[in-house]
Amino acid sequence: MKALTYVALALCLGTPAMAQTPGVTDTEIVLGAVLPMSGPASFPGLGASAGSRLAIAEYNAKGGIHGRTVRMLVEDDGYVPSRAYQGLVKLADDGILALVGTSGGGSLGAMLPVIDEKKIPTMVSTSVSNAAVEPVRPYVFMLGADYEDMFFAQIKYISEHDKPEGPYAVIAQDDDYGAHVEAGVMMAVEKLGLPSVPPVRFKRGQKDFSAEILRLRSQGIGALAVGGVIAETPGVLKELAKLRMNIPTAHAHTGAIDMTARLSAPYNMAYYAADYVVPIASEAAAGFRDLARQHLGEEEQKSLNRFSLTGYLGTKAVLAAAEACGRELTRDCLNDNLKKIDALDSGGLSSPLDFTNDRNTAAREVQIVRVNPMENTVEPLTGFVSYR
Amino acid sequence: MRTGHAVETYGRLLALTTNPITWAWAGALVAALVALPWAVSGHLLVVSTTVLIATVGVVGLNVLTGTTGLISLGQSGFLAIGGYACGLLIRDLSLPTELAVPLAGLITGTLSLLIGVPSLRLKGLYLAITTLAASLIVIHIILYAEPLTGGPFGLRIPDVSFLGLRIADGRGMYYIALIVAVLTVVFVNNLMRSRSGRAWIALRDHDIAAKSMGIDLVRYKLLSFFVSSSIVGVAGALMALQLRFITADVFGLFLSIEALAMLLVGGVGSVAGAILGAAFIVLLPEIARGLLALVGWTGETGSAHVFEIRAVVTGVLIIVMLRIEPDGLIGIWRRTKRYWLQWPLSV
Repeated sequence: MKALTYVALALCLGTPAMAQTPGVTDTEIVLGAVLPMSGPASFPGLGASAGSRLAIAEYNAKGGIHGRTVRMLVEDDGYVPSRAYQGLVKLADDGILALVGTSGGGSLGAMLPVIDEKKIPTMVSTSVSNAAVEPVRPYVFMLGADYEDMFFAQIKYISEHDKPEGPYAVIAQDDDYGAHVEAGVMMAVEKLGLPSVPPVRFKRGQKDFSAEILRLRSQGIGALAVGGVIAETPGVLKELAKLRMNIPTAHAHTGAIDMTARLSAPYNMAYYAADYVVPIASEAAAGFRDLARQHLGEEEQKSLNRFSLTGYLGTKAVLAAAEACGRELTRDCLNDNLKKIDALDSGGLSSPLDFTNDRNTAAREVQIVRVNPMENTVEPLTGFVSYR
Repeated sequence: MRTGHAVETYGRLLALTTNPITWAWAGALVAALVALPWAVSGHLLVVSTTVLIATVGVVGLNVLTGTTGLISLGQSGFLAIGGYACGLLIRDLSLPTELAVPLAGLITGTLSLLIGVPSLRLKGLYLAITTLAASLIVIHIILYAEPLTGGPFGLRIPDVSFLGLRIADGRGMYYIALIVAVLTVVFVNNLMRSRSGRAWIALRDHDIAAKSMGIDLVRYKLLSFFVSSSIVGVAGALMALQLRFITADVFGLFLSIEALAMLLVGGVGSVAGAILGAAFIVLLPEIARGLLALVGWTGETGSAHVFEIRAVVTGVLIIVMLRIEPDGLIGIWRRTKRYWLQWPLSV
């Protein structure tokens, strides 16, 4: 009789913890994502969503996670921070185990108070943001190199290989992303003892850079870092081509995507880009593309882009950590196992994932590529190298 | 229709309404709003809070655009000033929230005179462009005054309380927004019935005639700018408290257009119309979500289309309202109410 009582007590104490884990039932695990699925910024959101769904489909095809099917709920923030906040509250209401899509830096900033309040395990993979890891939180993890590292790497490469004669310049958009780009270039210029001119800022969404490039030409620049997203790259290249300024240019990871290259093709200028994942059209991503053909529908396959790789890797890490918990899946267990990941195979898409560092951040190694828009090729120039 | 409606005392003349049934309905509405947090999910509570904050903002815009007839596209700038002012007063000066919110409104109102004074001779499209330019300037200053505002990295607001209600708590924030919204509506309703309100209406309807009747156009235009912007600044402060993290992106230019859309759809020149318009536009994605679920669309991408639907429906509604129902939703309500009051003799 006593033994039965003890067993009953143990069940009563043990079961509530499992039953109360949001997003986990006997038969399914629910993940959540807040991504820009509509509007001008839908390109990364649709890509990231497809990548996350691919990781989920891969696990479900193997029988799920210890008998639980995984599914994902997505809320559209349209890249508007207030909508991101609302979307996350809805996901929290609906019950999610973890957040695997966090939109842009501003949206993440709006969501962080809710993430902190409810201690939602979060994988920041859509867009890196220092706010996610400063301060470090035991439930927030990030995938990707800082924009500072990406531009530091390119400036270093340019100084060693192109050896431009004129000073280095940076033109970046006036938001937190642009500020990080500037910081990376200025850090490189300082550490490497390179000449530079004052940074130039432009309004996000600006299309005409004639005034800015004219000014930089008058300063006799020898290399230029461009802190734009997609349309800014061809915009700047157009002005450089018009003024016959054949200088090396460094661009963000979005410089290597197909859309940017196609828009830049008329200007006959190759350029550098840096990323912490391989180009999606490269040989290294062939396995990923095959997997997508197996598991994703036609519409989702069309939306595959560079952000699909980061969405895929981030979600894969979360699912691997969840799998390590066995049937007793709780948020604490998920966080503990994520923290223990030190060499998760990325399938060659990035450096192996390692979250054991002091910033809970994996894939911080950067690869520099040369984009040739005329031939629509992206040629890796280096392997994944750490610049920290 | 009520009879025996003679007003016999100044008290009854000044009262918002002398009809006990109206008071009863108003009381029932307030009671329902007070009870709402216990009846809805966390997400709908956040949406309801957003409705209340939008109400404050649009009621403020109605003072300038609806009542005084001065078109303004500067709401996003005024919201930003209010939001950042509130955030900085709380974070850097450690002012209590009860002081920071109204002060943020006053700061916004005062700064709005920098736009109001040069804009005194402007009307219509010219004033709209001037106020739009002012918004751009405000956003530009926010981005470049990094030591003060955090620049592109934004401003984080600590978890503080307002009258004992925690802003980080969904219910607490809802009640804060409700208190401010009710006070704003009562204040503006009374203002509309005051000397200033009547002067604004005269200014809107025919400024030359108003001037010839002795109404000081300069004084009342500036007063309208000040009052409207102060209220919009308070709305911006509430936005900052709700999100607890603000950047220039939170106050995008599209907010100005959304605010005008709310006013147009609800009914220009009417406080009740402003409330209806704000509620309708903010709730439109949820309505769309519900309708899509009714027709069996329950995709895992919960809201991928509802905001696109809202954008399309808002545009269509503005065109429809301007063409067919210029008095907006409040006009439809008034006609419907009159019809049923007179039924079966209504025409």
